[in-house]
Amino acid sequence: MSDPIRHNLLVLHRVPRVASLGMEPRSLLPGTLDLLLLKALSLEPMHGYGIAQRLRQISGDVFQVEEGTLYPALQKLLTKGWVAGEWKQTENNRRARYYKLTASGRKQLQTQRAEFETVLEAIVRVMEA
Amino acid sequence: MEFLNRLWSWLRREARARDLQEEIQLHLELKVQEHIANGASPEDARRQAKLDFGNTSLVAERSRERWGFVQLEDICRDIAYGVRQFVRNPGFAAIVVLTLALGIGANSAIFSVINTFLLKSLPVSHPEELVKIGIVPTGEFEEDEYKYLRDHQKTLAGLIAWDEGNITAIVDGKPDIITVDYLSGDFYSLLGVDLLAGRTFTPADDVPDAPAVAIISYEYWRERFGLNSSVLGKSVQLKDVACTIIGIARPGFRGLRTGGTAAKITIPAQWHAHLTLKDNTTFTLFGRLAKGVSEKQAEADLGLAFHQWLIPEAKKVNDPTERQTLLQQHIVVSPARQGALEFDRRFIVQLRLVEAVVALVLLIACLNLANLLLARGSSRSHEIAVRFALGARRGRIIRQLMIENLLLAICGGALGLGLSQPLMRLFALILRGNPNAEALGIQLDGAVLAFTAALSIACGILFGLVPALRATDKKLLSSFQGPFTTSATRLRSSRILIVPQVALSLGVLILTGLLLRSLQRLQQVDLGFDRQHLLCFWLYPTLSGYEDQRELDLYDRLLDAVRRVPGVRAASLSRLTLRQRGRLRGLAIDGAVNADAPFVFNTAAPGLFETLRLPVIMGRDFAPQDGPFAPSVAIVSESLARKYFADQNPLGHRIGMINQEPAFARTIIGVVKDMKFSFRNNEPAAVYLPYAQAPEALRGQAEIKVNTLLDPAVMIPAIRNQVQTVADDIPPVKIVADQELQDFESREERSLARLLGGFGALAFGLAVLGLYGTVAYSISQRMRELAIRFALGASRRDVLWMIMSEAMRYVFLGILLGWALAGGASRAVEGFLFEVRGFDPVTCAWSIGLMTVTTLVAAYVPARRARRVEPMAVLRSE
Repeated sequence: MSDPIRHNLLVLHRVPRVASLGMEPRSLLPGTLDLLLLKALSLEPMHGYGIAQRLRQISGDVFQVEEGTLYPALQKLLTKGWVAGEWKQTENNRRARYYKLTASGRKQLQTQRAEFETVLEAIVRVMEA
Repeated sequence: MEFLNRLWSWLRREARARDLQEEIQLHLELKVQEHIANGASPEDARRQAKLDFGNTSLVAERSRERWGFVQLEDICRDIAYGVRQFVRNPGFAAIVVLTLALGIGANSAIFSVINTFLLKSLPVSHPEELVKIGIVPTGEFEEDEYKYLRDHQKTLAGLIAWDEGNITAIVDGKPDIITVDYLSGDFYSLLGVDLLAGRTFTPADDVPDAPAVAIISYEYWRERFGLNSSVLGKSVQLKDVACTIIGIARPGFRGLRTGGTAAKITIPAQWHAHLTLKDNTTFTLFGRLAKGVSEKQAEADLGLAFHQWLIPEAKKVNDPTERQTLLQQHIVVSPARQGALEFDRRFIVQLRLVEAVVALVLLIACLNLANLLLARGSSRSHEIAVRFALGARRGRIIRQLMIENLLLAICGGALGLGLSQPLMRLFALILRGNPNAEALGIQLDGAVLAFTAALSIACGILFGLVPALRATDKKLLSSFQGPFTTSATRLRSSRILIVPQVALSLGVLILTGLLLRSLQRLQQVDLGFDRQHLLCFWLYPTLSGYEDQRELDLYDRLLDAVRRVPGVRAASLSRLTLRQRGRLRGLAIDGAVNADAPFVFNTAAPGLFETLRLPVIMGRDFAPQDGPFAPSVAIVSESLARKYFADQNPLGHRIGMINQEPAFARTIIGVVKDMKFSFRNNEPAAVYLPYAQAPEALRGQAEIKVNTLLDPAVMIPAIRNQVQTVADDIPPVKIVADQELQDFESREERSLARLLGGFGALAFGLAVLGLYGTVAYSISQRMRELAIRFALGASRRDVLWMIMSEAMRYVFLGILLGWALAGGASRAVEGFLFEVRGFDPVTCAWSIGLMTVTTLVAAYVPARRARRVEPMAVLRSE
């Protein structure tokens, strides 16, 4: 930390979580972003922008997600070892990081999906009762 | 796995940040292209892309949290920030660190002493199975009792007999008195103790007729034999026994003790009876419990065995009361994880007392620092308010402040650890009279390190938490109201800290005062004999093989020789060191038994009273003709004569000491003036026997007293030479002035008074400093209030009075509390005091007076500043 003022601002006074509204997609159930990302990547390796496009297309513009949110989530998946990143050229000859699902990511997708479905079923049952 | 990933990404965090930056850049560009393709202008497209994406720096920040160790990095940053704070304010940091270093160092040092003597286990296998076997009321066992128990007990894996003592060892023709441990043969195998070199002795070495063997301590090996390994197999002459050295103990091994100096030589217990002084026939017993046996079971079993031993013994006794006492003895088994504690209860009290005072000093220091931090918290309130305004959570700020405090505490602890080494030596010197802490087993080990670390952190929390909570209390944060107002709550919390500081330091002050008075009293005691010109030294002829008539002849020869030294007025000897407690009970006067009559009993050679310049007021002194075969005679003290003979003439009456010499009476041939045998002994009744007629148990050692015409100190070499010429086969004697003996007897008081005095002064100084700081701080914070008071017509005197009375209210509360505290604590030291009661009014008055005057000054000096407040200047500056 060479710059004390930046340190003060960023570290000591990092904006509290309440102030980061919009970071977590409001219309998503908590924790579902991971599942969506894993699902999207299970189809084919993609870069960040591609994933954003794909999510929007599939969900039919339902999710009002700030696209930046994807990146911390992707970093988390990387750290967990569920996805792996690889720098490649795009069709337009740009360098981009393509994410692809690892074996443990695949397993994680199954687990999360099963959990999600259980919860969803329960919710549906309650709502229809 | 995840941890490794995190570690890996943390190590590559810069590359990862670059990658992320590039990704975000690409994302935005693609987004702009998308919007342009949808028909937006380039400018709108860029704006829209940014909106869609959100806050890029936040995204980077949140991503950063996903790799690496954010909490840890934050803490590292807090530490770096804290360090910068201290660099900016080195005076403050230095004061805190030094205060803590002193307090923590002293606590670590005393802890290491306590650890050595009271907490550590013996370095043997499974020390928790060890028990001490005691006997009520005598405590120790005769050799035949020990052997009977050893052969008849069923609950112990083994029984160990131990005794310690001194012995004359002749190595290469040079005699020397050294310390010796007598241990039964199974000691080494039972405790699982191995040696540095050679072999241990076994039960086979501990039977009659076995060749004499010895194990020497590492320290003795170093001092006497220069670590020469050819020492194994060498012969050491102990009295008339030639012992072969068969082993060398490990460094620091102390037999059955955890601390103190190690015995230089260890020999099998069978030699005890032959080699020790005549009156020392007992052993201390230890045992290892057999598997699955409890102490209670062992106690029952040993009790039974001992009773079986007692029944035939009791039959040999005729006197019914004596038989009863014999049969009433019983065995007590207690855990002895730490082996034999080397000292008496007074030492434990002393240690605990020092520990308490040292802890109090640290507590006062912490309170003081808390006060300092409170004041500093308000000078930092601006900084803290800014942080709040920028959205920092309170917990985060508290963490930052606490990290700063802990940092200071840990620095203090580290420095304190360095200081604890010299302090250990100081404590060892003051408490044990030996500055070589290492030799006593006092050292910096894992336990001390852990204690210091825990103490440092505890201190950091103790002095730091309240100030940190207060500094971040939004209700109290008044930074934006201007620098001259401070809430009354903050001032009160700072003032309340005065109370415990004053109370604790007054407590220490009173305790120190009590000890000093006790010491003063001790030095004023008149023992009744001339101490000015007295020298003394001790002889242990038994240890060099002088027995019976040869011993008496040696004394005669020696006293004659000493009396011939020019400048010697008189010389004589007695059996007991005059200051030893030779108290006994039970006198028969002309056959009439006074079973409980207390008296002091001693033996004397002719000329003892002349040497002590103690007048014989009736009858005659002992003379050479009162030999072993002459009629039995005794001399009594004036008090005894007055008590039992009133105005009768005691000369010619018969006196018997029923517990010492049963069914035996002596003729009183003289009455001598009273003297005290000890500072603490007030028993003036005394009976003296001629040395030559003393029972065998009282033979074997003597204290020689020499009265000189000249300064006793210059006479020492001449006398020593004379002794050496007369008896060249006994070890060199150590001659001391009698005055030194007196210092020795009051050494506990003196050492304790010195220690408490030092720490008491420290505590007192800290408390006074704290008070000064509090008052000065409160004035600096109340300038505006004071200015308004002045403006409204308050006189300087009113304001001064107001400030003083506010401070002194807390001081008096502290004094009251401290007085009560000292009252409670002085109970613990009462046993230590000499002719001073625990609640000595004079000491209390002095201490409270001193406290009051000093605190008044400490409050008045800063309070005077309040008088100089210029109302207009202050009010205009806002």
